[in-house]
Amino acid sequence: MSKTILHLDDEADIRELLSAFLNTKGYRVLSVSSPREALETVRHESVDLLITDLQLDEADGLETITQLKTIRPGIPVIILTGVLMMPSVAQETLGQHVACFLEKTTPLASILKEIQRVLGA
Amino acid sequence: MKDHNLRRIYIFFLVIFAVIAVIALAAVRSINRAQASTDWVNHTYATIYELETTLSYIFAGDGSVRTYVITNNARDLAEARESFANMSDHFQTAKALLRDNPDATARLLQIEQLAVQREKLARALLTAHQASQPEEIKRLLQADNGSSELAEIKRGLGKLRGEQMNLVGEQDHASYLQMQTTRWIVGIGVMIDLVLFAGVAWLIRDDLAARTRLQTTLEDANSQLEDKVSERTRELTESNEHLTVENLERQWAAQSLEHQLRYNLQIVNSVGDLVFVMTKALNLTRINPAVTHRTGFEEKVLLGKDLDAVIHLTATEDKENGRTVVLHSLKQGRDMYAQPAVMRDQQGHETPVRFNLFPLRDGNKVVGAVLILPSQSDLPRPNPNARATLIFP
Repeated sequence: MSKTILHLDDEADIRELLSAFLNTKGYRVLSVSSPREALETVRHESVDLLITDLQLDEADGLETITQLKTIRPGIPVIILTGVLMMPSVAQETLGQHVACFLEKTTPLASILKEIQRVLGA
Repeated sequence: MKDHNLRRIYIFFLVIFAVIAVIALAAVRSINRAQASTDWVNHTYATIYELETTLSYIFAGDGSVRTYVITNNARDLAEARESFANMSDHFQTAKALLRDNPDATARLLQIEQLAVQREKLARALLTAHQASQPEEIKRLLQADNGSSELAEIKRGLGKLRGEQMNLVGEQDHASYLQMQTTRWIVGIGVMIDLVLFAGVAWLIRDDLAARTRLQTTLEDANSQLEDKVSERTRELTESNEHLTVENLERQWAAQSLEHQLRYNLQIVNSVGDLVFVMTKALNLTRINPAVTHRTGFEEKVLLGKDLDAVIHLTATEDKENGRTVVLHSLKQGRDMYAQPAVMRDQQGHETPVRFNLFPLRDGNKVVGAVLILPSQSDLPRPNPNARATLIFP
């Protein structure tokens, strides 16, 4: 049975591209544009992985992660953001909350590798 | 089915049907001849019977008359009359049966004349007997003893009978030959047809074998073609998937580049310091909104203009020409900090400032420069070993 990935990003182009790519690799992708939709989805769907942006229209990405983990405590999270960070700083500040931190400039193949590593595939 | 095979089969069947037609014709002719022969034989035997019967009655009548003359028995008389009556009847029947044979009919008529003479003699004897004239009876009998009429009648009828028997024999032989001929025709015809049927069967078998081989060849070719098509389809599918992924990667790279450019632009535009981007020749290529806010100059007005249009590079603290120093630093790829200059606004007001200058590099080449006027132009000279770090909480 294929794994289900919840993708949260307020940019439609990003959602479409990542969803299309992960579909070709056999993943079921649920794309949402707001933290509210993400919370609703997690309540009703069995989600194996959350990929989220940090800078969202309605809320902060880290806050959203915290709220989601109250509903699904063990859910792994990958941050996929366009904000350039120092890797060491990102690891230090975000490493406790997420399984992986990626920039949106990362190639899709590398993103896939990280997804496979996090999901244990 | 190949054309020449088909033609051969048609020809074979035509010959088979022709042979069957010949056999049928021969059989029908044989049956008709057999029927005619049977009728003729029956007719001939009937003729022979009539001739023999006629002879019998002649002798019976003649004998009965003589016996009556001797015995005077009424039964003999009756028998004599009956015999002569039957003799006449049979003569008529024999004549009817031989009417198609004029020669035989003529001879039978002659024999009939002789038979009639015998009958006349018998009447004469009866008359003499009834008249009780024994001398007459004796005379008649003596005269008859020297006559050869009976012998002639017997010989004639015997000859006629013999001829008929010969004809029967000849007919039997002819029938036998005809039957043999028919047997040979049928037998040979059946053999020919069997051979032809065998030929047709061989042709059909041969054609079926060819079709089976062709079928097998086609199936093999089809199987190979299907394998190739499957392989090619698989390759195309993989290629298509690969292209799809490549396309997605390109789109992703493009959007991330566009995203990053947008971010960088936002970062530069949000900075409060005045940022001037220029070529190595100190021609302006870009300014940030802070420049416009401070000087009143729009970007489109300053683009392409020399830096001196808004920033006049004054002499350094070492009394060197400011512009020369800047160009020299760019050439060497060195940063400059807190260098003196005069800024002009759109109204022509001049303000002394201090600037930082950073060479703009593309790889190892210096392609331009970034001049920054801190929002507070009298900021202390920064540590040249420090590097700017953008950190977002």
